[in-house]
Amino acid sequence: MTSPVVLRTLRFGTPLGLLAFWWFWSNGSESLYFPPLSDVLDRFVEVWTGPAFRNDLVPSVVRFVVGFALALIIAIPLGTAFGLSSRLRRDALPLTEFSRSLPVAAIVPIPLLAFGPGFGMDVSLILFSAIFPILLATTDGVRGVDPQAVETARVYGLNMRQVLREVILPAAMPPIFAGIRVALAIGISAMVIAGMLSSSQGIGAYVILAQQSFDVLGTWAGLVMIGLLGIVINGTFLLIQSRVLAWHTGWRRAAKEGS
Amino acid sequence: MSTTTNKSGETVMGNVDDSDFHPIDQHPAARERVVEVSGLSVVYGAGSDAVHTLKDLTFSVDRGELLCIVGPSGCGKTTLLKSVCGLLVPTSGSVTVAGHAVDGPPPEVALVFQDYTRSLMPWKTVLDNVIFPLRAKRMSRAESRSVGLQALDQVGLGGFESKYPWQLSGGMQQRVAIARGVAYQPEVLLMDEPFASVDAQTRAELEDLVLELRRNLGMTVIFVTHDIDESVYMGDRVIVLSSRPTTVKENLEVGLPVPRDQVFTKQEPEFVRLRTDIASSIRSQH
Ligand SMILES: Nc1ncnc2c1ncn2[C@@H]1O[C@H](COP(=O)(O)OP(=O)(O)OP(=O)(O)O)[C@@H](O)[C@H]1O
Ligand SMILES: [Mg+2]
Repeated sequence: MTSPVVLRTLRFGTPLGLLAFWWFWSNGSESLYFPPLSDVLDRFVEVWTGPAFRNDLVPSVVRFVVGFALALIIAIPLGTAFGLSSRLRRDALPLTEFSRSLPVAAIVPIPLLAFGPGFGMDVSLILFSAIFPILLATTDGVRGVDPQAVETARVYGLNMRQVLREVILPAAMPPIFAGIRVALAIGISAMVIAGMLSSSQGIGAYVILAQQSFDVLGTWAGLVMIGLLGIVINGTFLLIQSRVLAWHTGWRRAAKEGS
Repeated sequence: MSTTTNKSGETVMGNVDDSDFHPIDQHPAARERVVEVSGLSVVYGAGSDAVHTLKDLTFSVDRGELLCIVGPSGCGKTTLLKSVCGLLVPTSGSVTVAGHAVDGPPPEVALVFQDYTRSLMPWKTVLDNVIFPLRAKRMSRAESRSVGLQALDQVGLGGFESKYPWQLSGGMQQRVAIARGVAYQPEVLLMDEPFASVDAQTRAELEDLVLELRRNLGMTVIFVTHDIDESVYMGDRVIVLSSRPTTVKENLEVGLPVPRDQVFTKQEPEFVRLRTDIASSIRSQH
């Protein structure tokens, strides 16, 4: 085992080191495509305190939140049903396997036709891309619940709804969170791609527009914002996870020490 | 409510006359059968892969009795308990608990599994593991909490209520599972090889704990074990099962004085006689 101090230094030091490297390497750069980081950051502040904040950043975030929330609301109950019923699972398998192997970019034309560029299309793309990782993780998580935990609850008089709430869902939470984490990454790229392909509002649209008008600094300012958005979304997720799954961390550590 | 004041119970426990604990034994006519198993057969699967486990099993358990069931590994002891607690629908025959035919988990029955790591919920605290069945029965938070804390006290886990099960030793985890059974206030407590995965010292402590709880609370207990000594030490009666297809092979009254003692009870001639009988009975079927 590497010592925790070394790990922590690596964890925070690596990104900071890379940023520092970028800063000094690009300092005084004359290259058209790789402007100095200081210029990028100046432009970043200028862009995102300007109208782009309301016109591009806010719509992107709102669409992401709505699309992802819909994915959760649909995938968790559906995945639970799949996990509980092998018949349902078998019947739905061809459809889920087909849909989840479609790349997001490939289905863009459908919502574009159905909704036109804008809110409906972006939300449905984010929803479509985020739903499958959560659906599969929930299905596997629910299937994997120890039958003896369920039997215990049943002997102690819990009805099916109570067993679901008290035993099955909490037990399936760790895999469900793992699925959500994967879905977040895919959902963020769907959010960007949606904007890029349909040129409506949104952060992806902003980047494409900047690129098409040879606004190199603007393009970089957009990219930095996308990265930052990813960090914020992931950070929020990790915060929620550390609260909901606090028991899981301790339990796993105890299991490791015991063996 | 069946929980008695455990403080006063503990102090008098040692010197109370045997007849106080078995008032029913004094009046054989008043014996009440709280569990009746009749003609119970269970077949797993069908056709050529069918596994015949229990075959036409019949016995009953009196109220307040501690019945031990021993039998060779794989003979169907767990299957039998699952039929009594309504987790399993028997192929034929019937089980009655407190006068009602079992078709689903009866409210009078609680169960302690062997493997506490699988029956305690790692996401619930010790107290929540004990009281979630009470909460499901819509008992108020405050009342279930006080029942749960009392049960934890009775198994010697006072002060551990806000820990998680995985923060405790194996023996303590099994105490949590027993506390859950006690807090449920069942008429019949089923225990499926409850001490098979703890060390010998802890096992002796837990055996005495169960004997004490059962005396204080007047529960009926069906105790499954594959340890012959344990069955004689714990039981008022021992049922020996045959290997598959499983029938009742022996039905032995245990005439040992109560309270039992880990050292002296095991030196009694009656103890030695019973364990020899049971051992040879089990050996004879192989
Ligand atoms: N769900 C099942 N499907 C098929 N066979 C089963 C099932 N459950 C148990 N069996 C078989 O039935 C027999 C009795 O099983 P059971 O678990 O009741 O035995 P047991 O006496 O409790 O065994 P042990 O001493 O190992 O605890 C075993 O041969 C087992 O393999
Ligand atoms: Mg068993």
